[in-house]
Amino acid sequence: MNIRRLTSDALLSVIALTIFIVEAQIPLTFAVPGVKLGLSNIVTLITMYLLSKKDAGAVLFIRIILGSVFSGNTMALLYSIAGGALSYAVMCLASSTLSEKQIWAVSIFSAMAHNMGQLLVAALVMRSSAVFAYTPVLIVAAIFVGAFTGLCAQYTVLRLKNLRLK
Amino acid sequence: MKKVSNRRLIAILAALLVISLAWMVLARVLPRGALIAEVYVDGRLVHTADLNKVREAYVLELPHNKVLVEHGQISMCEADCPDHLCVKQGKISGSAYPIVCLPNKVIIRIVGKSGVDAVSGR
Repeated sequence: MNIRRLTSDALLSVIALTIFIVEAQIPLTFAVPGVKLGLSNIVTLITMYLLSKKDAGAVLFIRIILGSVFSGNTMALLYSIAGGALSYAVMCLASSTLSEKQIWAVSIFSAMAHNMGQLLVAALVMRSSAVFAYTPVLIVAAIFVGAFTGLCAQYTVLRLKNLRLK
Repeated sequence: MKKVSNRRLIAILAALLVISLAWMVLARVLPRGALIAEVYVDGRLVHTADLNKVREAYVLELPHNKVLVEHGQISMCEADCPDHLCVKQGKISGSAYPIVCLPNKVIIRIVGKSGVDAVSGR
């Protein structure tokens, strides 16, 4: 791993972490609990398109682990990791078929995967399938929230393309 | 690399949106599952009721307490204990917190379907 890439990864992780922590401080609660904007996902998407899938994975998991440490919410780590892993897998799949002008859609699909991962963990933790009643709400939320963060990432990627991050 | 057109993406997402919204509406409209409340006195189950099937509210008389059973919720309406904590707890409709009257050893709890608010913490 060369120094330029290491620095880029570190920088992007810090940006993601900062966004994550600032977002956690804003009491922006939608009508349903558990739904949030997930702004730090913008950084993961940018990393995936400007650097590589591997870098995006690194930035995502560094942010998840440090985010839970800094926000003091270690209980949520299990949920975050499950959501993160699933959304990362979907993001990798989707980004290889969708162009950088379709990041909004990649973001929506990964947001859905993220929510489903969290639901799965919730079902396992509670040993109850009742939480799946929540699925449609989370899909609708993922469509709007994912489109928003995806468009943010898309416009950033189109402008940062010429930066030599690798 | 196979290209997927924007039109197709929007069609897929619109379909998902419609299905989810329909699911949400159906979940509201269709009758819910049973909401079983159990009343225990001194560890013995003395009364069970499906709160979703209770049409008219009634009062369950126990030796030291009175339990108000209503549609979708249940509460302790009277108790002869000194602190009345069980009465002050008010009505419950989910399994998160049972009503407990410690002096008279009465427990009212709801089993079955639990709400999401039991774990989300918000």
